[in-house]
Amino acid sequence: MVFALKSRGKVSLIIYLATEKGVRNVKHIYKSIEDSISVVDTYIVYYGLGAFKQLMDIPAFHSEPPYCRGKAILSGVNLVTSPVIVVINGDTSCFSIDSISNAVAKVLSGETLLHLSKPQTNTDFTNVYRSFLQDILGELGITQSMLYPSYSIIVGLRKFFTTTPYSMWSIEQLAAINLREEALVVENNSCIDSTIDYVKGFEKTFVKDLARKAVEIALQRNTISRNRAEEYLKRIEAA
Amino acid sequence: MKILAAVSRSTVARVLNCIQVLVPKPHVAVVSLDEEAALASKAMGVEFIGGPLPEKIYAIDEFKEYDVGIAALDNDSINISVVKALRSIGIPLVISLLNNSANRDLLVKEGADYVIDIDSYVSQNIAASLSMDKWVYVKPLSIVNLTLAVVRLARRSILGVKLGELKSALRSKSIHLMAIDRLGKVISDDSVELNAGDIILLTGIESEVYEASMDVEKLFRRHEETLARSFAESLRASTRPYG
Repeated sequence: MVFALKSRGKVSLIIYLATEKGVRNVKHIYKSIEDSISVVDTYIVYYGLGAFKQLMDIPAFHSEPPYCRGKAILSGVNLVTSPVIVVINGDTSCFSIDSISNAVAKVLSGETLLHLSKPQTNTDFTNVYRSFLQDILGELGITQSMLYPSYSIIVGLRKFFTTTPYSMWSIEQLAAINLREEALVVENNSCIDSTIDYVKGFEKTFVKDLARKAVEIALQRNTISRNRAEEYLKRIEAA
Repeated sequence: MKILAAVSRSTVARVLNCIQVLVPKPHVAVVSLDEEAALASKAMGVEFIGGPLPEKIYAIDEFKEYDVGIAALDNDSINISVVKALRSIGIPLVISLLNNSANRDLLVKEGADYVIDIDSYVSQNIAASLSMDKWVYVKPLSIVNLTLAVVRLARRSILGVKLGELKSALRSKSIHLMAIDRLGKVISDDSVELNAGDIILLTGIESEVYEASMDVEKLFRRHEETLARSFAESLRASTRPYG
């Protein structure tokens, strides 16, 4: 499998992180992925406060504003050149090389256009996320498995991200809205992840922004009527 | 001269205003995704090409003949991708805005000849406006490694440091020293003691300015030690036994 992937196609790798823990993870993630997948270019995108301590000879980009995960992923997408991107959350250990290799193989073969891998989370953030987005995503025809706030591995075509607006928290859900359900794969990576500290206390802020963007995209695509969109937006503001 | 400028709605006027004053007048092409940039370009009689960046730069063959490329967007990740594109099509001189100082090395590595650091300029100006007795370093120009070190005196004004002493301390350095009083006038008399609100300015090459500011710091510390010593001695002299 590894040999086949190395020879078949090339991807761009984006590792985003906001914490010190992530800094320690990056070296391990990079080495593991580079050994098994043919990578054209790699960028570390740091979206925490202060400067990122350069560990290796990987270009490190500082994304602004701080703690805006959606913008950090989009910044990485802007920097890389391959049509297929692998986006890894450097702040978590919730990834396996096998799952990344499988996802890359599926995207390179055209079997799927966007592959997301979700960790197990059962936090306040997940509950807030579901309370706001369950109805909207359901109406948009997005699979119920999109009901997780973040995905530790994202493999997909770069173009879906460059043409999608980002929210403070994420971009992957908004990119998924533009896909047919069969072109999207969401797998459970059975890894237990915890919420990053900067989210605590701001769960509603992050989720409301994401929900607003989802409604706007749905309205642009005529998936929902203007009345329905206004109803959603009112509900979001009132919460 | 042919200039290709990749801009956003917030930078279009600033960039075009600078280019318009050049003599002889260059041919300018503006590339942007923003409609506001199209409007401003039209008003200023400049060619406009709408579309996503950096894709548009790769797509138009004619851009290879341009002499200067400017990446002036609000987003550093797009500035970097535009710089890469301008370099890859062989534009000889590439200038880029930098919105976050931490990305300077990356921008230079990707091929920018001149980096205009807006972040540092803004934050150092704010620091200079607020700081007292603390050095602030500003880089006013990207075409030379010129640095301006500024300190505004507050508590240190009681030390009675004279302009002449500063000049003596910096005699061996290739830097320019200037002192400005609180009314904005240049202090020219070496025997004048610096007062609260006066500003000391050092201009020169970055490393030398930094060293010179350290030399001035040493001078201030020497005066502080002398003042502290004389104060301690005055206490000792005035101490009387009880009774």
